[in-house]
Amino acid sequence: MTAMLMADTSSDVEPDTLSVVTNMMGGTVGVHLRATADDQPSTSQAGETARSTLRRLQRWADRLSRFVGSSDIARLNDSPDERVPISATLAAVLDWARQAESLSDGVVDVTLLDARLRAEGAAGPGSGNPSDPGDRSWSMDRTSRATFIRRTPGLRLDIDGVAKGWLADRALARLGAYPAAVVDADGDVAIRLDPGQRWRFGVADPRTMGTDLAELDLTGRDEGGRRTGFGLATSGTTVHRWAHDGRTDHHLIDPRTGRPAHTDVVQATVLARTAREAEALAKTALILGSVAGLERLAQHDVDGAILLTETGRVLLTPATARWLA
Amino acid sequence: MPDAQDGQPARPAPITRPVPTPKARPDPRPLRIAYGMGLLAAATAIVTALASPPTTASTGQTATVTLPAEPAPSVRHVIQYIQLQPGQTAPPNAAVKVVPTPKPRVVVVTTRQSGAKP
Repeated sequence: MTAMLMADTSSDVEPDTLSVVTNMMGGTVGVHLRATADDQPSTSQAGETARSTLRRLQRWADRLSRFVGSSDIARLNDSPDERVPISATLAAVLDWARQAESLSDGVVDVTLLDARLRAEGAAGPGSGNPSDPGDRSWSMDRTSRATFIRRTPGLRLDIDGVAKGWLADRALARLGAYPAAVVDADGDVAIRLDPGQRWRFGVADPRTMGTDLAELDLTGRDEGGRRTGFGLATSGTTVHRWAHDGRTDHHLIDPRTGRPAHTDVVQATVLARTAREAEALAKTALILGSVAGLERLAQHDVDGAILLTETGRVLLTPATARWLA
Repeated sequence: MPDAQDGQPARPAPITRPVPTPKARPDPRPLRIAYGMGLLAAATAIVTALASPPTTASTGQTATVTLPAEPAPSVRHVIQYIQLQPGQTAPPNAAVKVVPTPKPRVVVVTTRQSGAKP
């Protein structure tokens, strides 16, 4: 693990803020902690907590990655059986996938792996041979000893999207001792801030590397004595792109067509209560387009949203303004 | 012309060359001894010069040189800055310069499209 410690020695970093960042899941994953009061864990304790959290994240990711041949999802996708036992970790992610499907009215659909691979036009690493099993229904049943998934043999699941937000939220739950904690799972960010605690977040501008569309200054609110939880996630069509048959496509499949979604939105960022909700709703807004997407976001009363359209317009939901730095 | 007695041809008479008389050379040993003594003397002088403590040059006559007395060197310590620790007070008449608290760098976490999915 390559870790970068930003606290301890740097005098210009926020006092008692520690960041440990590493490469994981093909991107960058970080744990950021702040301990300001004397009775909080020390910086060295925070460093060890952050590193152990990253190690745990790595183990979860290894179980959920279709690019790891021995992972739970790879073994499920390779199984020829109709009913397959799955691990508790994969069952928890698929539980969330069901909720995300409901939250998005079916826009988030984990059965679109083969449609995605067909759109890519090639079977890349971990993809196997794209096939169409026809029936894309699946269900889970639990016994006292195990959880099983039942689906049409050959139906392969794609949890690439839903797993990252779930991982960020799950890791954040380990950091309850800190008044401010942030888990960044390669852009899907889980946040918890005590009342009065503030943290600044950037929303990357995909048109110019290293620049932001906006900065959000989040503040912890008093929610009946509970700490404030936020989730911040971005979905877009400008990173995973490829040219195929003379047209440019991307990886976000519209379940209504089975093809990459073509709407006026090229990037959607959502601020919600959890990272997994933010990820699901960001993807929904992007696939539905700006008009239907903003309506859907208003229905879910998200804390904020920033959409970038193909014409360069930046659209904000009204609730976003209070967070703009 | 064949020899009548043994039938073998007669051998020509051997040519007797005069043996050169070796040139008389001087005995090299005295000169070698002299060279050796010279080298030994030179080496002794070098070793002595290196090993002995430095001494003032002497011409063989005793000479006393009185050097002018130099003033004792004075070092002036100039204290320009004292960083006061918490609880310390500045000396009297000291100009106190308040160092501004460094502005902490805000740790900004950026949400972005992922590089890859798990």
